[in-house]
Amino acid sequence: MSATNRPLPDFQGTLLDTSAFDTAEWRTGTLLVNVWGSWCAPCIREAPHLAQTANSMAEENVRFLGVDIKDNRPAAQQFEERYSIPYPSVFDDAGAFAAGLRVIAPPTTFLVQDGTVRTVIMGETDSSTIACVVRQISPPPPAKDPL
Amino acid sequence: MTPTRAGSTSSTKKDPEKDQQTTTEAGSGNNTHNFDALPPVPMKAFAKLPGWKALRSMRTAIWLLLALAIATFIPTWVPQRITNQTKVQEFAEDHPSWFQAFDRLRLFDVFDSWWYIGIYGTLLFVLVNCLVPRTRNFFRQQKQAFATPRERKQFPSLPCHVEMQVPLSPEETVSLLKKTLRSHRFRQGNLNTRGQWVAEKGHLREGGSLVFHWSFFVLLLGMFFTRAFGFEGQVLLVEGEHWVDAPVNYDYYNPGRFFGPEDHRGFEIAHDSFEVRFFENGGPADFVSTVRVFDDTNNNAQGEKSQVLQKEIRVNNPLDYRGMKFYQISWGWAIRVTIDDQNGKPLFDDWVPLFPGGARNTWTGVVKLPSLSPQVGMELFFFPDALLLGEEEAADLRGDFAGGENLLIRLFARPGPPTIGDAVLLAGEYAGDLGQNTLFQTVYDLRTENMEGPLEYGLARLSNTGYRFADGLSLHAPEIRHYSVLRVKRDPGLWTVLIAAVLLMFGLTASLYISRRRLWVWVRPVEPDPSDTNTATAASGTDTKETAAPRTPPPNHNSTPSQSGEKPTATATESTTMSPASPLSQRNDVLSQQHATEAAAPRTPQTMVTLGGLAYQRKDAFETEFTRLVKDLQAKLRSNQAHGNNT
Amino acid sequence: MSLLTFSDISFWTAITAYSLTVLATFGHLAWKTKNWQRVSAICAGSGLTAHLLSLGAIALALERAPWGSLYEFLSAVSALLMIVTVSQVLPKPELTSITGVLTGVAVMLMGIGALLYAEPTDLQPALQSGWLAIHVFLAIVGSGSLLSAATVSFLYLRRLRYDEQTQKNLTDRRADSPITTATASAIPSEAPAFTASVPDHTFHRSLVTEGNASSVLLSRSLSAAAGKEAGTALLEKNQRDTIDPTKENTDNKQHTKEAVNAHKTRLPSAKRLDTLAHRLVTFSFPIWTLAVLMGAVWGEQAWGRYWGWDPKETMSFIIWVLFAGYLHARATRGWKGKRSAVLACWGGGAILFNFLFVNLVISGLHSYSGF
Repeated sequence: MSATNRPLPDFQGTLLDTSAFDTAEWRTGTLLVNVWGSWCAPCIREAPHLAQTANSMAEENVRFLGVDIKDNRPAAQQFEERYSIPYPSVFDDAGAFAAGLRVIAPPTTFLVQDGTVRTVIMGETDSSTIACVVRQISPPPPAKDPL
Repeated sequence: MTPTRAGSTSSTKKDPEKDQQTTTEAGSGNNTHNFDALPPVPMKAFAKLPGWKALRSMRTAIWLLLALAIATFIPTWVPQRITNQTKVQEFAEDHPSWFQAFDRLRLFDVFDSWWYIGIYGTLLFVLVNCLVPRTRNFFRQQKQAFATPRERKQFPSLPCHVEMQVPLSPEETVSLLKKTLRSHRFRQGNLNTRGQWVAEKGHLREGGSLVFHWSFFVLLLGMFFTRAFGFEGQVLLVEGEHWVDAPVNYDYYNPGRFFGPEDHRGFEIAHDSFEVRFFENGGPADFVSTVRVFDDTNNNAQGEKSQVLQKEIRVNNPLDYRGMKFYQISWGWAIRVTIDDQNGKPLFDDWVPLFPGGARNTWTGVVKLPSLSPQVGMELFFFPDALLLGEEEAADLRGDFAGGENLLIRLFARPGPPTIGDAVLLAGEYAGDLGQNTLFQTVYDLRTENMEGPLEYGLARLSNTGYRFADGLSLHAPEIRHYSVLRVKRDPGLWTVLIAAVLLMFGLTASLYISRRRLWVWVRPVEPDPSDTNTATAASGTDTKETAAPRTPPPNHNSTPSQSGEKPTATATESTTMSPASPLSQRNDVLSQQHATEAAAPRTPQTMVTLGGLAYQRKDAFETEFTRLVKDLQAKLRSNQAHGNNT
Repeated sequence: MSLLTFSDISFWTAITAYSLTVLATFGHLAWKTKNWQRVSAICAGSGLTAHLLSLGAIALALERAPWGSLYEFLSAVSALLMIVTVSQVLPKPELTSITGVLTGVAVMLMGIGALLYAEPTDLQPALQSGWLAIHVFLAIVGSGSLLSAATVSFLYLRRLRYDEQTQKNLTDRRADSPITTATASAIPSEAPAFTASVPDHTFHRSLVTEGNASSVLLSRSLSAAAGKEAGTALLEKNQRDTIDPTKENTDNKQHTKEAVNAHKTRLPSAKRLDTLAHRLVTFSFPIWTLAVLMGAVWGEQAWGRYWGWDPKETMSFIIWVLFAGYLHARATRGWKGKRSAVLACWGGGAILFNFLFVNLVISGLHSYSGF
């Protein structure tokens, strides 16, 4: 896949909540990037899965980031609310970030480790696939001793 | 010895392998090579296969051409996916069982179907089977003119022939003739022991035909390059929008087989403004999209882009940047629609592209709110220049009306360019399931099958009057801008295709407009008549040196009667001296002139030259050419004489 | 008077003149009206002049090539058809009888154009290009001459049918008539160019052989009175012999049928028609090819694709293939003659379909030229 083993592209922009965004701050650790749009039907279908997985991995230092393309802020924020997306999304109206990621069409999910793209999932995905992909590079923490 | 090709005689007999009509020459029967003949097939094993003859025959080609024409006619009646995806979908929904059957036969993708490709694939196969031997044959032909010289008695049967007595030695005559013919661009064969040879012209006819037919393969190559390594897409840009070249950002994207995201340039385009200029009668005069291109020209790691150029894209004037071309296809209005919920929280705020609706100066569009529960969809109608009326007022007026309950909008049919006057946006609200998971739709389609509505029609005006729906949603249409649709493509095969087209045209023109012509020449010495004692000098340089008139025989010997019918007397007048049509009287002329010449001349060596010619096509033009050739020859003879006398 | 009004007036003058040409031909065919040829020539010539003036006026008024709408296009095509007719058919005595048919086709196209009349205006952006002049001009010339070739081929088929019918009648009757061969040898078989008719048994040999007969008589008659006079004399002689007086009342019904079909005998000989059609196709096929290719080049400039299989392009391709088939058929034994003429006729049909149906009914990128 052409996008794999490439660095995360440089990009400065804004998140949906209009706060600043710079990829420089996201080059460490395990990162899952999901490219979506509120108008995109498969994105709607996979949204709950992403939300659930993001929540379950919250303590593990796996960060989730969304990239919202061809959209408008109110509709996108509405989408986030509807599906309770816990992670922030970049508002990529010119499509520059998605272009750098070599996205063909949404939804596309990228697994990024230390600033390098490792895996690309094209099309709609679900919790188990995301989990599996993440686990390949980031093993689960040991189960907490109930004691 | 006159070279003859081994196959030449067999080709004129009834060759069952050749099913091409051979052009027959008047009075000929044997020994003339046919330019059209296919060389005999070397008896390789595959030649004996039963279908092989069919696979290189002209007859098969004609049937295939016919099949191609019929097959190409189908898309006129059946919608095709490449031109009209939506119509195909409609067909699928309206006639599902027919759709199944048609789709299995690939009737919606005729040009990509196995049977269509089969037809032209076979045609190309037959073509190459004919082309290879004919091309080989052609190059072999260039090395020799291989028609056999004519016997004396055959000359009169040619449509154009002349016999002249020339006061030169045979060797001089031969060299003079050869030089003259060469200057007339005839290719000449070897002289045989009897003083005969053949000259030919018009090989480019066959050459052109070969070029024409080979160029189809060049065309195919070009198309392959495009399909494999090129791409095509479309993008809709609203004024003010920024856009980056990447597969994801296209509204329609069709990459070639080997074209991937990395082949995109990744530059950025800012669509600054779009302008439509109109004629006075309202027709569009010009579409101009002004864009700026930003690119990372310094190749810095940051990937920062700076402005590279600014361009006005017009129809017939695309933007060409780094191999990508942007063409102005169409335009429209994009209206900014904002929808808030009952608490004033924004739910939607975007530029919605509108497309020409059914009636004059109306536009339609769609807004979808999939994140609401239940989902909401709005069918938009936009009237750039409208007038709101109540029913009573409308009753008296004429014009086009649109609208819903208790609401009538008169569409202005003002002459002149369409303007944004008192613009009105009508939104019909639907609620339910947008069907994004179940019903085929694009971003611009609203499928209302699983929705309730139209629940109500909201009306907003550009002057910022909004509308509050019953369920609390409020709609505003504060601004309007243009959008421009650009087709983008990268076409590596384009130059190849262009070259193929040029070759095709040259080849075709040559193969149809050039005629194959042949001249037979026979030179022999004349035995001087010992009884002639007159010694009028050769230096007189008068017309007595000229001999018999070019003789065009009675029309009955022409190969096409129609030609004779057209101008039997015309050809007679074109000859240098008038000759009545009777053969007998012509001969008398010859003899008398001959006599005079011989009587007048001293004993210089005399040579008799017989020149006969034939054109296989464009026979009337050849008569002119032949006459001109003879005149040229006679002029050269005269000057030769003059020189000879001066020394 | 404005140029556009003048254009309209000239257009209608042309139609009227052409209609008179058709009537004159009709008159000749039906009633052997005298001087029909002169009337035809005058009407066709003056009609064509008016027609060209009409197109010229549009060009002057709008400063563009006069083929921007379907009305203008059809007018231009029919003008070309008439140019072909007036230059290639009218002056040749053995072909003039078909002037009326070709003019009739022109009138039909102009009539349809008039029905679809739209006042010539300025053109939308896509059409504002030098390519309009080149591509559409070539399309006009190409399709116009191919259409005339198709018409001639159609007439060829009619003539051929008549010849075969006559031959068939002849062989049927040979059994009972003792007079058949008596005069056969006296008259040349294919007294070609000047014989419009192949009447009954006196010339029956011409139906069997194809042009290999002795033409002693012909050459004598030609030398006796050079040129057209001889031709006309021979023509009239042949026409007199159309209904053979020696047959008497052997078959009344046959006689009447022959009288009805007599007009077909005034068509030029099959071979002559065939040659004319072949020449027209040979001339115009490269032009049509160039028109299609120029269209592709223009499409690439304007829309970014040189071939999109839109209805007009598809139809143009079909026309091209059919006439390519015609040219190949001319070189193939068994396909020369009737079969190739059939291909040409289908090509003509495709051309008409392209003009009318594709422009008006089906929509595509080419529908600029529609309503």
